[in-house]
Amino acid sequence: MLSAHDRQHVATQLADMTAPVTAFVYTQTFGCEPCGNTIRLLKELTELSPLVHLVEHNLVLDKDAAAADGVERAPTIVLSNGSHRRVRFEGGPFGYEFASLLQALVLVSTGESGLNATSRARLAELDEPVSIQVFSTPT
Amino acid sequence: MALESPLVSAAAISAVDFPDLIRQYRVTGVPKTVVNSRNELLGALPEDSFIIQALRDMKTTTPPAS
Repeated sequence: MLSAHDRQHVATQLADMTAPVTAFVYTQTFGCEPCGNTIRLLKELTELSPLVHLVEHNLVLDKDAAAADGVERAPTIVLSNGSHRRVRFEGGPFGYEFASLLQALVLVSTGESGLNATSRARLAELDEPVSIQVFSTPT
Repeated sequence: MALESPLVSAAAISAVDFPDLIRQYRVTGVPKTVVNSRNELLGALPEDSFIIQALRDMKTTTPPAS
């Protein structure tokens, strides 16, 4: 799906990863137009960095995994660095979302949020679960 | 934010793929951020403003300054 030029650019970005990240992707066979391209794109990412791993789940068949990850829609990509699974992408990760996915892979890999000290202090004081949903479009 | 706090989870949602969510959360422009299904932030904000607005009524371990 990526041109040679894009592949080079992506590989350069993913070179900032310092630890493995597993992308658990949930797709379904029917009624999911972006699912096929999502899998293809993620497979390309695994070719462009030895630190990106892919685990495929079928949302309909792998009910236990989906329930454990709280996944209700396809495609959903749950990123894990082995210690947490708190960052995910829902829908096809194309266009601007693809740029965000690359950035998220690096962030989850390094664990460096890049947030300032004030932000980190506010977050450290949190005393209830916070679920953030950011809606965007590919263009 | 999700990297800094074990209490925070973050989802980037491609709005075009989920028309039901667009209706549910009344997404009329992007980026739109919804926090715990109640706090809504429109547009891209500077980091400090984003954090303050996103967490504006969340419980914290220290009482808010009066």
